[in-house]
Parts: sequence; structure tokens; C-alpha cells
Amino acid sequence: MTTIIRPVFLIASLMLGLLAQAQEHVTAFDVEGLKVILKRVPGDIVAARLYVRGGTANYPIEQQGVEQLALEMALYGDSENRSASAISETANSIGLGRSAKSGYDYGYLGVTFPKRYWDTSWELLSDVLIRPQLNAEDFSRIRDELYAKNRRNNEPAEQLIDALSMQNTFTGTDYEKIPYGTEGSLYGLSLDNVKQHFDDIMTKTNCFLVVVGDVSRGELENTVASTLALLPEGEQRQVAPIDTVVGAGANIQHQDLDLNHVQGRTPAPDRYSDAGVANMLGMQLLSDRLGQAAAASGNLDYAPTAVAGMEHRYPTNTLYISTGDPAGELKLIIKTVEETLAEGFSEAELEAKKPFFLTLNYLGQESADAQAHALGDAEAAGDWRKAFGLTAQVLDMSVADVNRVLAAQFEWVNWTYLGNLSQVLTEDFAQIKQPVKPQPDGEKN
Amino acid sequence: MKQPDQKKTGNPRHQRVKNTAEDTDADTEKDNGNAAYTICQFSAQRSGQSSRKRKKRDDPAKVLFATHCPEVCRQFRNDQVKAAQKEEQAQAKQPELGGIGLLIFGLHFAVTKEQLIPGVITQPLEVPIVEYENLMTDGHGSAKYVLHSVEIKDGMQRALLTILVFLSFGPLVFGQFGLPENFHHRTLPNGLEVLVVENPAVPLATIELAVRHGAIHEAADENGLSHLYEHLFFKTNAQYPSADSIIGRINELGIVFNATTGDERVNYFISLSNAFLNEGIDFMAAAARSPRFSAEEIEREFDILESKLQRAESNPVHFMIQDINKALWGEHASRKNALGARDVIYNATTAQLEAMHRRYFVPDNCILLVSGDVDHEKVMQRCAQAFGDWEKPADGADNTIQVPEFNPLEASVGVITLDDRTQTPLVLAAFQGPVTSKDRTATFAADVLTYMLSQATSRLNAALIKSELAYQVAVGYNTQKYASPITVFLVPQPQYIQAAMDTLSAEINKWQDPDYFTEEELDQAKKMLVIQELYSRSTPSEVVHNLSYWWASADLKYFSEYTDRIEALTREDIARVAADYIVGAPNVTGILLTKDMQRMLEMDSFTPLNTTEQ
Repeated sequence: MTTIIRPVFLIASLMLGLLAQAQEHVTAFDVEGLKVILKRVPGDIVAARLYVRGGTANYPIEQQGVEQLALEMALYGDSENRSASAISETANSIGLGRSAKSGYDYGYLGVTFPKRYWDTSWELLSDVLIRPQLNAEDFSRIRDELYAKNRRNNEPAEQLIDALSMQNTFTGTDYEKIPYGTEGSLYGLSLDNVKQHFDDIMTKTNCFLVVVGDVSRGELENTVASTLALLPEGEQRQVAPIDTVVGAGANIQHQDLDLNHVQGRTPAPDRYSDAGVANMLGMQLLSDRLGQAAAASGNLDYAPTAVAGMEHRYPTNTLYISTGDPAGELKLIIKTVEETLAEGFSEAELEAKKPFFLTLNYLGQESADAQAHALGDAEAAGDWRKAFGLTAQVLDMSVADVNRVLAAQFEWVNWTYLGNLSQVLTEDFAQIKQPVKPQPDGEKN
Repeated sequence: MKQPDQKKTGNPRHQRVKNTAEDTDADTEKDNGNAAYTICQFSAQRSGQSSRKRKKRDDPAKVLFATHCPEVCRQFRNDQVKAAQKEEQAQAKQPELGGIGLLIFGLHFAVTKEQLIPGVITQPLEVPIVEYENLMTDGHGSAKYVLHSVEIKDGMQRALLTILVFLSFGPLVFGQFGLPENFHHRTLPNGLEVLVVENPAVPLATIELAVRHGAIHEAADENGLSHLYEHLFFKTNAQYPSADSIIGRINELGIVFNATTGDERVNYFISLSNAFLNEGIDFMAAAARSPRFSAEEIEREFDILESKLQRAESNPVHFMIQDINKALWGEHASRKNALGARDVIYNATTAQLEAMHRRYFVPDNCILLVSGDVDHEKVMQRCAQAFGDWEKPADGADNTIQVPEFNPLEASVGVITLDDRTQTPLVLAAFQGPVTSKDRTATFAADVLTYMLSQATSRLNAALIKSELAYQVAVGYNTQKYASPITVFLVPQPQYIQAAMDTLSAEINKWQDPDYFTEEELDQAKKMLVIQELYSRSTPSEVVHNLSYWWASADLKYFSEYTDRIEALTREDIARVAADYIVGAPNVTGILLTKDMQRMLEMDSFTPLNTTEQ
């Protein structure tokens, strides 16, 4: 028997070395009870993100949006020492960018700034996080702004359908909640609700800090000790797992739109596991297949897409299309998925996909802020070290694993439709038929 | 309203009215597109792995094209700051010029010529026997290492040559040009500069080849060839002779590639996993060294370039800028047109492109930049292997590529451009600004001056916008080596067009007064320019664009000293650049109107801005 050592394995071995090198740039330590993760990279810009664990587990559905509002009020409202406009003026004058987001699994407050304004930036960050006023005027103003922003964001139906699809799939669970809130929930909140929520979540036990930049550990430790380490200790908050979902279903909602929107949601594995990486590759390959099928059909406006799930507690993949012919497109998607699962991908397809997958994945993570996000997401999922495994996982992935993992993700599809009712029938939203035979272990050529 | 298909025919030209009190010579002429900086993005696969938003179906090997602002550096800076300050945008919005703004910057795109590397002496490597005495440089031009009479034979030729070339690098020299410690610069014996930026942000490598080549190097009958060449760079070559083979290689390596053509620089760049760094360098070497220029590929690019020309011509401002450029730069106006001339592009031949390759794609007219999670020693080694035996053809550039002197503008000129698609009257004045080859200090001061003037809090803004004479006013400048305008863009309220122009002229005449700007304005402008520059350098795949831009429009020292030079400027420096290049200088003032507007405003001619005190 001839043993063939494929270049990809050699490359994978190389990548293990690179992985070790990459991790060398990261250290994690504790500053008076606050976990800090530092990635030291050259450059003039620093990104700092304070992550808040829990996400939608932190509030009841009646208060959905409260965490986003609390974070924004802290960041964009008055502090005890400065007015919101003074904070904004200082931030602008030193090139400090601010962001706040509450998501399904965690929230964060982020800043990016030139290293030369290190002290000023931390003074400002400390001010808004340790000493926010959270007053009535800001509550009213920022709540209105948040509501207006939500409306703008949801005007494109392709964004609205994301939230609807999550609600339909995860009814009765934390993932049913909309992190940015609804009109009803936002205007049902009181200022006391927001203050209480801020006090509950903004603790050293519930938060961790990620910093990326040309910063030494000692420098960061000193700064954190005099700023964010002043946050209260707090108590460990419990985050319940999500272990029940609606599963198979079809939710059809009428809306007069130029194009009709369809989203199918299916289970997905943990993004950081080997199966999760196989799933990401598989979904990209499936997306290519769907695009090719749409192109071959010749009468559709936009190609369907398949996107891998990234949530932590119950990740889900999505299939999505906007179309003038929803029934025809649904048939095409279902047929293509079923054929793909039955045939599996070829090794050549997978090997061609891997390099692009890596390039495109990492091109979006180059900024200090994006690197902080990658570390923060991995830490929120259990360990920041997970952020460094991807390249080796991708290069080492076999087509048999990709085919096997992808086939396992279509146990159910929860369909959501937003568009003209007259163009679809309930039976159009069929489930995916599983392949009759399991995939062989061997690779398809 | 949809325009008729003008493919390969060009737009019907607009009436052009010359000068002020002079004759009005309405002539119809072909137009060749404006000096728009162009960027051509290629993707061999469907991109956007996490994109769930609706996306037009595209071919797996689709080529995407887009026309962008000419001022790549500033645009990148702005993009970076915008991204980083996303949440702040609503509060700190810059004047929105929209499509007009993009084209206005098109005017700025100035000339570039090669930058000679002082002291570098190179001779072609001759195989199988190499007899040369090559002086290695430390980046400042001083000789460091000498190789003598190297004999290389048979199959060992390339390997030995590579080793020798690599060894000849010698020990590292840090801090060249005052660059940061993670920057490593060397010059190969053949004159090719290599600059490595180590940054472990993500496991990627970005490889960029920048060439001192662009519109500035082209005579009128060559205008557009650099742009056409740019479109062919990632096409077939000797190593990948078929479309399948090169697309296959791009897919194998996961290469995302892109290229831009400007007035003074063309840059080609790829990003890929750092696991394929060596293969990426080899890929770039094959593209740079052995293009095929197949007739079929050239023909295919005509359509793509035509669409870019049409896109530029779809905006009437394009024609105003064309008119202004002709008046401002005279016989060399085509050298400020990076997009290129339609007739030149359509008549391009393989022989022309091959000649261009021999002349400009030579080691000492290029710089190779590599950034990302890479080891600079390994990069240098591979570059030596891939480029070390890259020889300069006998008729190649000899470091004496000449860019003709741009004649100073003798007197102010007024130009009326008529286009019935114009929505509102626009005024654009252009002055011949400072260039790095002649007045380096003034180029820094011009950045600060134009920044201050364009702020919503400026006196200029108060005089024109708060007084409700105009909707917008902005002042721009783009650093170049050979020719670059300072522009003043005005969108007057139509009924007050003359009053707005008079006010603008009066304001311009105050700019040479050091007290026109407050210390606070100056400090804030310097601070913000430095911040923008820092953001523009913050990502590995973009810092190489920034570096190669300065390399071509000045030199690498300009990059390293930029922030210090900006911070050192005084109000007197600002006043001096205003006095030398604006207040005391002639300009070309253009006005864009419809025929109806012209009739209603009774504007057959007009006095250019700022001419009363000359």
C-alpha cells in the first residue's frame, strides 16, 4: 500500500506551529477580580471591550431591550463627572470610537482609540462605566433613539426576518427575546428597570475585559486596577441552557413587499468544535451549490444563501432567499439541499473551499476591534483559546466529516416567510428528506 | 432617466465655454474620462462567507469592478475612522458631497513619477555566469555589502543564485527611514525594494507590488494604458498560461486580489492565508514578471473599462473636472487622467503593453510589500528566490523616467461646463498646489489648511453656509509628487451664486493671515489628521497601501515623519502655503450649469474666484 502524504496535512502541521505562535501574543490574568485578556500586537490603535455575560438570559421577555438600553445610556449618557456632550466632544477630539451591543449570548461596551490617548480614553471609559448617571433625561432620549434605530434596522425585510425566525424557532426560550427590544418592551421599561439591570450585570464577576494593542501587561494591570477594577464584585449569574426548540414548522406572515423573503432555520453544532468547523465549511459549500442551482434555473433575482450558526447556547444554521417566486425558489432550495446531502461534496470541492474560507474569514478580523471581538466571543463561549484553532481545524478537515456533519443538521427546518400570502402554500415549506443511506466513510472524488 | 447605450461611442460632448472675458469657443470634443482613481476588485469565488443578505447572483469567477475616490490614502483613512467611530458619525458628520465629492477628489489625483533610490547601483544578472559587483544598500543608499564575480552553472544556477542573493542581504538594519521596529526594509541586488510589516493580528499575509507607473507617465497617446495594464495583471502569464490554470491557482491558495491605478502609482495586492505565504510571493512574481497580454484578454477588458468610463461620464461633474484639468494642466492634462482615454484604450496592442512592461515593471521601479503574521526573514528569503533574478531588460526603465514639467498657470481662467443633467449650479476652483518633489513642507501644511477650512466650525463655513449663501463648501488637497491641485468646491444657493462667489473670494484672500485660524482650530486639525493617519495604518492589509502610496508620491521617510511634521506646523506655515499657492496664485474656476441655468443667470462668462487682488 502506498501512503500518500497530502500537502494539506503538512500545512496543518505547520499551522499547529503558527497556532502556538499566535497564542503567544495573548495573556489572560486577573485584576482584583476582573478577568482581563490582553492580545499584544504592534500598531497605534488600541481596542478595549468589556464583555457582559448572559445576553438574553439576563432579563425577562417583558424587558427585552433593557440591556441594550442600559449599555447605551452608560456610553452615550451623562456621567457623574461630565455631560453626554462633553463626553462626546472629548471622544471626538481624541479619535475614540464607542460601541455598545447586547446580543443573544452576551453584550459588550467597546472603545477604540489611538494609544497616545491611553490615559484620557481610560478616564472616559471608567467614567461612563463606574459613574454613569443613568438619569431620566438620557433614559427618554436614548430610548427614543434606540426605538428609531430599531425601526430603521427592521425596515429591510431581510433583517426583520432574522428576528422573526429566531422567535419562531425558539418560542418560550431566552432566544425568543429580541436583544434590541420592541416598541412595547422599550416603552414598558422604567428608569428604575434600567438602573437595576445595569447594577445587576455590570460586575467584575459577570464581566471580562479584552484589550488588543501595543500594550504591556503591567501597563494594563495598573490602568485596570484604578478604573474598571472599581466595579462591584457582584455574584455569579446563572445562565440556563437552551435545550428545547420548536423544531419543524412554517410561519407565514403577510407583508406587501417587492420581494418575498424566506428563511429556514436548522440546528447547528458548536461553532468552535470540529463539527462546528465542518458545519461552517459545509454551509459555504452548500451556499455555492444553491447559487449554482439558482443560476442554472435562470429566472431568479437573487441567489439563495446558506449561513452557519454562531450562537453559543443553541446555534442554528439558516437558509435564506429573497425572491419574486417564493414557491419555485423553495422547491429549488429543498431539492438542492436534498441532492447535496445525498451526494455529498467531493474532496476537490472542499479543498478548493478551504483557502478562501480562511482568507475571507480572517480579512474581516484584522482591526484591533475585530480581534477583540474574536477573543471575546471565544471567551464568552468558554475559553478565549478557542479563537486560535480555526486554521488548523479547517486545513485538517476531511470531506467525510463535512458530509457527515452537514447531513446531521437537517433533522428539522423551521421556515419563516415574509411576503405575499397568495404566492405560497403551506405545503411549499417542506422538510428536508434525509439521505436514505448514510455517507460512506471514504472520500468522494 | 436612463441614458442611451453609449458603449464605444462616447458621450455627446457638452458645450464648453472658455475663459472669462475672452472668447467663448463652444466646441464639441470627445471626452476621455476623468482622472478618477480606479480600483478593480477581483474575486475568483463567491465571496462573503457569512453574508446572509441578499446578493446578486454572480459567476464563480466573476470580476467585480468599482470606481472609487482617487485619493486612496485619504479614502482609506476616512474609512478607517468611520468604521472605528461608527457610533459617533451622527454627531460628527463630514460634509456630504456624495457622488460629486468623489469626482471632486478625482481632480486631485496628480502625477507620479519614479522615485530614484539614491545610491543604488544595479546591473543585470546574467545567467549562467553572473559577473557583477553589486552594492547592497541599507535603505539610505549607502553601500553595505559587495559581491564579486559569482559563477553559476547548469541546474544549480537558480538555487545558487537565490542563496547568494539572500545571503547578500546581510544582517538586518532596523529603523530604516525611521520606520517602526516591526517594519523591515531591504533592497535586493537588482534594486527591488522589499518592505515587510510583521503584525500577528490574524494568520494572513498581504502581498503588494507597487509600481511607479500611472497617468503621469503617459503621453496623451498612451493615456489609459496603465489602467488597461492593471486590468491584465492578474490574467494569464508564462507560469499560468490559461485562464483555468490561473483561476485554479487563485482558488487553491484562496487568494483575494485587487489592484488600483492612480496618477503616480499602480498597486497590485493579494491576501491569503499565511500558510501559503511562499506560494503567494511566487504567484505575485509570476504575474509581475511574465505577463502574456493575450489579445483575447485585452479585448475582454475593453468592455469592463468601457463600463467604468460610462460610469464616470454619468455624472456631469466629470465633464466640469475635465474642463478644469485642461485649463489647469494645459498640454499635460491627460497625465492627470488615471481612468484613461477611450480611444487609446481601444487601440491598445499587445506590443504596446509589452513595451510598457519592459519599461516600468523593472525591479528598481517597484516595491514589494508584505504584511501580516509573517516572519520577515522568511519573507526576505522567499522574495530573493522569486525576484532575485528578475532582470531589467535592455530597453527597460533606467531610473531616468522623466515626467515633464507642468507649466505654471499664467492667469486665472473661468470655465463654464454645460450639462442638462445638472441639478444645481456647482463651482469648483483649482489652484496648482504644492508637491513633494518641490516643496515638501508645504504639502504637510496644505493637509492642515484644507482640513481646517472644511470643518463645519470654520470661518469659511460661517461666511457661506451659516449666511445661507451656499449649501456646501469644502477645500481639498491630495499629496502628490509632481502635480496636485488645491480645490475649493462650492454648492451655492442658485439665486445667490454671484454673492456666494464674491464672498468666497473675499474669504480666500484672508487665508494668508495667520490670525484667520485660531490656535484651537490648528491644534484640533493637526490632532485629527494624525489620528486619521494612525487609523489608516492599523490593519495589516491596508498599511501596505498607505506605505506604497507615500513611497510613490514622496518616499518612505514621508510615511515615518508624517505625524511629527504635521504636529510641528505653525500658523505661519499655514499662512505661507495659503499665500504661495492660493491667495497669490492664479486658478481655474469652473461652473457647472444647464443651458437654462446659464440663460437665467445671464452667465456667458464670469470672473474667476480670487482675481480682484492680483
